[in-house]
Amino acid sequence: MDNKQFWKLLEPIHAEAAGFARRLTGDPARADDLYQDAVLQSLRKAGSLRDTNSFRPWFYQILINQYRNSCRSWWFSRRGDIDADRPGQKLQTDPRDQYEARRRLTELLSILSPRDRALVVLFEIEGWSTAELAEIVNRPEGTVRTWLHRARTIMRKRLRSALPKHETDQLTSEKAYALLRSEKTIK
Amino acid sequence: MRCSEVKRRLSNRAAVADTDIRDHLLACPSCAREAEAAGTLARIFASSRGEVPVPSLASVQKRVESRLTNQTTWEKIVHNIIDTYSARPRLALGFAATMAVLLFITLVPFSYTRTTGFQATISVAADQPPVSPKLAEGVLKALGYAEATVELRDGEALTVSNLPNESEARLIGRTIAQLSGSEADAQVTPVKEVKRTPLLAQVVDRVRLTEPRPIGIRFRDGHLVLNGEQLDRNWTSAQASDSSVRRDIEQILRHYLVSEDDMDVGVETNADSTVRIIRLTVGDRLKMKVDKPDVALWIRPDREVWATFDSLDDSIRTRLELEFPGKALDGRTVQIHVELVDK
Repeated sequence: MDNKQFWKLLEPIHAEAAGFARRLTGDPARADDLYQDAVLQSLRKAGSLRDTNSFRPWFYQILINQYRNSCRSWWFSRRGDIDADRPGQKLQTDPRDQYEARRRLTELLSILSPRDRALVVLFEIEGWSTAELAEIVNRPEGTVRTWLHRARTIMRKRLRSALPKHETDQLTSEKAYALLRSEKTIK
Repeated sequence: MRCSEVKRRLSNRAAVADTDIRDHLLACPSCAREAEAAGTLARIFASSRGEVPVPSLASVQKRVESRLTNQTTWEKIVHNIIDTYSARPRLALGFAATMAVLLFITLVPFSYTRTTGFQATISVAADQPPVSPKLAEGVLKALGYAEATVELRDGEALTVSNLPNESEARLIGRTIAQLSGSEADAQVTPVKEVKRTPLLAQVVDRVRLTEPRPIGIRFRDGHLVLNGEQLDRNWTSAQASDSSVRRDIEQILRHYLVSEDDMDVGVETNADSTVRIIRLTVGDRLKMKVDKPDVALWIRPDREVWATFDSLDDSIRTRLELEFPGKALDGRTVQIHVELVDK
């Protein structure tokens, strides 16, 4: 595959992949560096891609590996994750507020491993199927579902501690029920 | 409905009948809190969807191509190495394992017992005088063993130390014992020391100690004896042909690690079958001994003529004729000629 062909293949998935990098890192500058590094790496390895139809999962695989490597680096461990050092804040405002939602998402993702972060973002936000995820991480679908389930459990547990305590248990139950019903609507 | 069932349904987000969950949530504050968290999480995900501002592809392309162009040779090499090993983790693992083994065998010291030399101890019967140290020193000097040392222990046993290998120690021990004229017995023992060196150094050490064995040749009662092996045949002119004697000697030399290229054996009986001459040319490490009672003879490589420790007289029936164009221990070229005469 030559350079021209590479950029042609990247064009249709560029916005989606670059957006994924931003959601993953929560920091635009870091996301852009990550995305650039992934593009550079895949350009170097372009000769190894045999089937251009699998360019999208192949590129995402490189992007996720770059992200995992960057999380392992000494620099990153010193700098710390974006919001990991901030103590968990109580959820004061309605998470439907987009800015607050993104901030909260970044905080919740920071407690997950880099691999789980990538899977949660792709599945819950980007709308990838478990089959597509299994292709990227090279594991069976069942394994990917288990990972996602564990990640959601960890995030819910963190949310539980962050949610404001209600005055009565009744209120909690009603609020919970209302949220569940609205979740069904959103889905 | 039980709490575990509620939590499972919340996790899987399976379709549920509202009343099932509702009744349980009203009754169970813990599950209610769990449900609230699940619902909040779902809202966070939902709110996070939508477009995210990203840089244009053109700007990314420009920056990436600039980085590729400005890459130094060193960066290219490093990236190639990283790409190779990250694509082939087994190769990286193999390389790391090889380096670990190399470092281990070259740096980690181990104790081992090393043979540094040999000594020959010549002891005599209780009623016999001990072997003279002066005789031993004379023999060693004549033979070129300048580094060997002589010591008389307890006034009875003579020990010759610092001998390079077992065969030479045995030969020297026997020679001194025989030349002393008494009923002496020579015992050879290795001298060992404990050393601490890495494994690789130990292997190199052992390889260096492996040297070609010296060849002791003697002629007794018509039989040729090489390094203690007496051949079956009688090599007097009437009993064996020139070619069979030659083949036998070559076979024995091969047994003593002399290569085909290094040896040249010539056997010739004179016209009236009274003299058989054996000409033997061997590489550069050869020591000769022709034993009593026929001839007591040491061939010293750095001389052009043979020397004896005993005089030739009428009782001698045979002599061995050999030519040595090889190198002496100190590097000089020597020519030695000895004649073998049949009785």
